Amino acid sequence: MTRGARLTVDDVSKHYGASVALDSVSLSIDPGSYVVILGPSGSGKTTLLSLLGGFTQPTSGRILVDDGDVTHLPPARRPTTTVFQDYALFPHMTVGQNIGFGLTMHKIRGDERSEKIERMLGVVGLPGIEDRAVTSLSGGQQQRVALARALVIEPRVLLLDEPLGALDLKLRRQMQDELGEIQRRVGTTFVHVTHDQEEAMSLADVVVVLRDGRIEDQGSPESLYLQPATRFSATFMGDSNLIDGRVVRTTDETVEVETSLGNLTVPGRASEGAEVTLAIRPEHLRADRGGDIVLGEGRITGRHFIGMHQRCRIQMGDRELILNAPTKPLLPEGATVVVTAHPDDFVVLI
Amino acid sequence: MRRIGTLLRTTYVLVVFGFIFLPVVVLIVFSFQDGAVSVPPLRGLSLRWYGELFADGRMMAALRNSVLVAVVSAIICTVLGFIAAYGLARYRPRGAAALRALLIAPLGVSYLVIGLGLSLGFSELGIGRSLMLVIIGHVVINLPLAFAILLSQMNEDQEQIERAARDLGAGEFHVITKVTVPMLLPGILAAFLLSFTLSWDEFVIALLLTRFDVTLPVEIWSALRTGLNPKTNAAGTIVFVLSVSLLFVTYWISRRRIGGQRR
Amino acid sequence: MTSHEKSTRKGWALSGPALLWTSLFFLAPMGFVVAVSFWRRVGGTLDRTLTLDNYRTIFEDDVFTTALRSSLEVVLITVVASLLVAYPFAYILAYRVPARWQRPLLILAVLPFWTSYVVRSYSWLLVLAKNGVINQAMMTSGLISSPITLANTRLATVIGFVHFFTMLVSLTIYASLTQIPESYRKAARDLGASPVATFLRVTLPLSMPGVVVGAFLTFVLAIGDFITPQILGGGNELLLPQAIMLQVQRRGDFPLAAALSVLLLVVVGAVYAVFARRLSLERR
Repeated sequence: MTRGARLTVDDVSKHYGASVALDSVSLSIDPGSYVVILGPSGSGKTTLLSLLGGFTQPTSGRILVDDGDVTHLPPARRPTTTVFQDYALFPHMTVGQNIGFGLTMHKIRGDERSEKIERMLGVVGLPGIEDRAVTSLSGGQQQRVALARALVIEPRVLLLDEPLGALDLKLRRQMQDELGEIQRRVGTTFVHVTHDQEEAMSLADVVVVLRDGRIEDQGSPESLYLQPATRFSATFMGDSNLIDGRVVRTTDETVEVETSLGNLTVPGRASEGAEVTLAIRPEHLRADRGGDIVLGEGRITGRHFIGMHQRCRIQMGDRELILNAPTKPLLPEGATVVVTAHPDDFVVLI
Repeated sequence: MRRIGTLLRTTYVLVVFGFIFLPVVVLIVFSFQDGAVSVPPLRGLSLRWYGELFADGRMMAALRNSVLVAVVSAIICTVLGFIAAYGLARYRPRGAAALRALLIAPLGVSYLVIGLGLSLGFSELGIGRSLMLVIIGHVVINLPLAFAILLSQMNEDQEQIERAARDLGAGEFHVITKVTVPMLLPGILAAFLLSFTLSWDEFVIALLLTRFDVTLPVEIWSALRTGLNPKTNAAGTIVFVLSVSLLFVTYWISRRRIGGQRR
Repeated sequence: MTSHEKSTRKGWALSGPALLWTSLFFLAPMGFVVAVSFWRRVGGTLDRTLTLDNYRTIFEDDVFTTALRSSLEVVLITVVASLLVAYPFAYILAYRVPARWQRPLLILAVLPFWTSYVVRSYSWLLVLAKNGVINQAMMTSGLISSPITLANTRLATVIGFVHFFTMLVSLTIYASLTQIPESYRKAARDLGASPVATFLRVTLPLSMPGVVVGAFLTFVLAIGDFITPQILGGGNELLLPQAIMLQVQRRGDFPLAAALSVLLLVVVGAVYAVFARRLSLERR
């Protein structure tokens, strides 16, 4: 199989009349990586994918595949292929004819063509169904055939538009794992668009968070989760407790922030006097004295048993914190607890 | 390149529109001809032929006959079509497919053959040609359409609503008059108006089944024998304008209906 | 009585009046036409002994075999020409015109549909006549020096037909085209197909239902139409419906007219049988 290509998006904007779908987006994607573009609807993620695939022209900026400028190439002449959200399998063709369509268009015929089709059906785990009608396939099977059809012409970059959106939850999680495996096997650069953050976390080498046509945050799933760059990405990817405050003192490595929960000294950089937000994940708060920072006493006003943890709402003065505690010991509703945390688990958002 | 493509496409669309509208425009323009022939050159505009048309007793009688035939046949089509569609949609009787095929069958047969069959049949029974027979014939050709339109408008949601009405104590008669008919009113009107338009335009059956009292298309046909003249244009224009107005009413109603169903 | 039997009864009872009407005024007359086609006209009366004489006449008399052949020719030309005119029109409308203009344009395009048969054909006569719009326009512009014969020819009949059926076929093809998701065409282009290949391999095959339905409707309606060939074609060429009318109105030979009608029904039935599979596939 061909190796994946480096994909570079250089200061790309897309305007539709007065509205701005993408605003100066720049992005560099390593060869052979699995990139997930994550964002709520209207964030511009589908527009970005459409620009990469060549179905839309940017208002300004350039798109490069390796060192080649493809900005003005039509879809047919780009080393990219797209897996469409509705799969777009041709209903009047068999599975084999669908997968072979791109090969025929690239003048690959005869034995070579049938071998490639056969091999690709093997890769997506559907060997021997060349002669089936695509209309007789289940949703999951159609998804794989669409994948095979796009991969068989050996694109340098594969674009996937909400590829799992039409599947039910269980199938989605299963296909999610398979997608990752297929990508590792073929080595093509995958660019996958979704609004499902769990999908993004489990598949991506790199997640790009898009909001209102701008890149909000990017990085590995771990760094994005543990070190979100903005309030939006801190709350869009899982829950966060956000504590507003003002920086009252700084050292080389720490800041002391005045908050409604007292002065908290945490690692990070900010200028003295700045208004900042401290973010901390619910699972990093403790309902005992085990943490180095004491946030104070609070009353448990609500508790849900989730299975792997118990999720508590804790009233601390005039504000509420979400705390995920281990399932033992059970925390009774109405009880008063001391909430603590480790300084390292706070993220300073400017 | 792109410009040329757009230019070619625009030209093609305009040519097709020209082709489609040519005869209609010629018809309407020369109905205002200030002269005796309905071909170029246009000698000036005048309403004189409309005046003559309205003064023509035979034409006016034919117009009245056409409206009568269209109204009566459209009412019969709508009523019969409605209850048949209701029976089929709500009771799903065994043999529904055959029933449907049978009721729709006349659509596949030429008006000429239907007219011939009725004409032969009635003369065999000793029944003379009359507007009554034209009404019968027009119901035969339009009933399938009215039936199909109404059937397509009936769905299972409405059935639930009717069930709710029964559950609240309404008898069968009240269910139909107070729930079903109001609910389906747009479809019923559309079926009626389409039947009306097609009946009032129909020629062959009317020709074969009438003798002295004729409908407007038949009268226009006989006027044609005396050659092209602007009075015929005026009559044709009136037929066209009335049909198009009815069409717009139908479209407006059905669009409201579809819009209402989707959301 | 089970509830299904009960509802079957009610269903049929409610369909009863429509069924009765269709039986009395459609099925029975059609049956009667078939019966009459096996009788014979003797002088002014009907001889009711069954005979195949009429059918023999049809197939032995050149007038009728020619009428059948002409009818088939004219109608096939009409079907092909209507599809050729309507397809690009529907295609441009469906894919190249902004969505909000499509419906108004489509409605505008089928407006003349609602002129009656007679009036529509009469209007074409005004256009095609010796002193009609086309001849006068061409003479004024110096294209021709003396009027050419357009009216009362097969060409005139075909023009009249194509005019009517272009509107009809545009509708069915447009409906088919707009049902094809845009992503299919995008996918084809993405996989390397040229615009022509995309059309031939994806769009055209997927729009075939509309083409087939349009062609079928055109065939059925055109082959049974009396007015267009009568007004525009004139008496120069006799088509099947004109042959039937001639027997009815001039000759008073109803058995022969009935036999010709049966022939017409058989032709339509045969075409339906050929198309039936594709038509029912379409419905699914």
